[in-house]
Amino acid sequence: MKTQRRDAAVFGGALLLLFLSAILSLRFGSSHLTTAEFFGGMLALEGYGKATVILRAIRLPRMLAGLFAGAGLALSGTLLQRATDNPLAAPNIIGINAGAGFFVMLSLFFFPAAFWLQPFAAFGGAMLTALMILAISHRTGLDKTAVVLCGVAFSALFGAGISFFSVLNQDALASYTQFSIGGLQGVTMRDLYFPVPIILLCFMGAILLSRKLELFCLGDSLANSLGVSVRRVRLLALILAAASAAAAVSFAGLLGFVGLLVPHTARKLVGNNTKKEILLSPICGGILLLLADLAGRLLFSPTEVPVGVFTALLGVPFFLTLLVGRKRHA
Amino acid sequence: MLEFKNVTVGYGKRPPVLQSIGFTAGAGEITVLLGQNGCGKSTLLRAAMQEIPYTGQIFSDEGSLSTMPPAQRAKCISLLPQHLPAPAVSVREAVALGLAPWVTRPGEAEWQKVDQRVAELGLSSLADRPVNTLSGGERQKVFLAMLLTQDTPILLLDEPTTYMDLSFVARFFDILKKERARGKTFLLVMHDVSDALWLADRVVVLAKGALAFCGTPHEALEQCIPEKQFGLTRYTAQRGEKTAYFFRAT
Repeated sequence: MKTQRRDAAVFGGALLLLFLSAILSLRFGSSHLTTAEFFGGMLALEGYGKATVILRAIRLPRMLAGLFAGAGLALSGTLLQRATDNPLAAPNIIGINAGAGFFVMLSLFFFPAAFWLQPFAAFGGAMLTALMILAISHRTGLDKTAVVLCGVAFSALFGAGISFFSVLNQDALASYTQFSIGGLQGVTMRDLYFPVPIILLCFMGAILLSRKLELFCLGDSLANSLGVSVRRVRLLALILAAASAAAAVSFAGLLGFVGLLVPHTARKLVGNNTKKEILLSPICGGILLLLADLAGRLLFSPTEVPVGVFTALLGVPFFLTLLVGRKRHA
Repeated sequence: MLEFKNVTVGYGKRPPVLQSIGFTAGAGEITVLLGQNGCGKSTLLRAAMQEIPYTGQIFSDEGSLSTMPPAQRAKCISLLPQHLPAPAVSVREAVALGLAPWVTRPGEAEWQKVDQRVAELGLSSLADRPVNTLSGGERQKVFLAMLLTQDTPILLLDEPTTYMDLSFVARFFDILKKERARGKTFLLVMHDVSDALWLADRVVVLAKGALAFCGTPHEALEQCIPEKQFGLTRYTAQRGEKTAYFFRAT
């Protein structure tokens, strides 16, 4: 009963914070809007044309991008940490960052004018690399250590590839740097049509797998003894994690930190329960990215600080406070 | 009942670890697997759990284990592995995970069963402690409680007494005997030959990848299996009409 009340408070609070973050993300930006303009623009009333454009064409896609990028990366991190029973697992361990980065670099090198290609290169590169890593690890029985080592090897390989092409073309390096820091500026609704449904599908898949993933904390042998088809469930979870992170990276760039720390934060809040963690992580990821983006837009206005900088500045102190607070409480 | 028929197990392209193993662990019996390190005892248990590929057949009363879906198999056979995890869940929650093959969410009755097992294994005072803060012996009790909660007709236990204190080993044997009386099939890997012969209804000895002996403890004693297979010396203790045998390395 006590746990149920605590969970209700945590989920209620998180949803409220997410809603407030979304409203703040719409309300404030580099262009100042009065309250009347804000509501007029939101409702697309006559006489509020400029506010309507700012809100609907710029801030709404940006808000949704922040929400879904945070959710996708946090979901991916949760699935990876559960499937490999490794608290340090994040999307980069299955080559998401390296694969997306390398293929974006290739697109910038060979087709420098085709900016529309960048999200597809990021998504395709991330998925292709993750699937290659999974295919190779599959030959070792999808052993969790093999997955991690394979990811490290591919990251090193693609990291070298990125360095190689950046030495050859300085312009490509400049554009790549922007992608690698990650950011939500310039995201349009059209950019979200493809990745958002993928993130939502991954979320539903993760909920369906949650009961089996719960048993992974007992190790492969006991999970198998309790009726989990260990290899199949791990493979499915890793594919969902790859797709979710690849979709987020395709429009938000490389925001690796979210996938590592948000799942831990969620776990601290709801305890070691996979289903609750899968439900809470995306909410926390969305909050973190929305607030970090808002801070990046407002604090040094008119200069925008990339969202990746503020996810670390906001997330790390919060996470450390939670960690130390819990230890002291225990 | 658990029946091994002509089972050969190997890892990759290396020569097989076990070759043509055949014996039956009967229902309502405790069968103990003995053998030197690396002779394939744990490998045989992993084969029975379908963790590693093998040739031959392994049957339960409900049919071949190799063709059984994992969810159905989890209601038929369970394993306490040698290397135990240290999850960050409480003792009570860990024991309740044993119900996973049976129920999606434990209800009042299921939690009562869990608490019963927790008490039976002497873990009540640790019920809310995270498993990753417990000692090896305590963790062994937790996962034993989990296995008993899973309540499968066949239970495989890989060196279950390794970390247990001596006072608890006797209690553990009592629990096994109680479950045996309920018709459970036990297959245990053990290293202590004295304990094995004291506890077992049937003893199976593996040596050099093959079945070296399969019979009752009485037959093992008659044929001097501990002396021949393990080079042990026999000591006898008499108490009234009861005779106990102890084996020590010389």
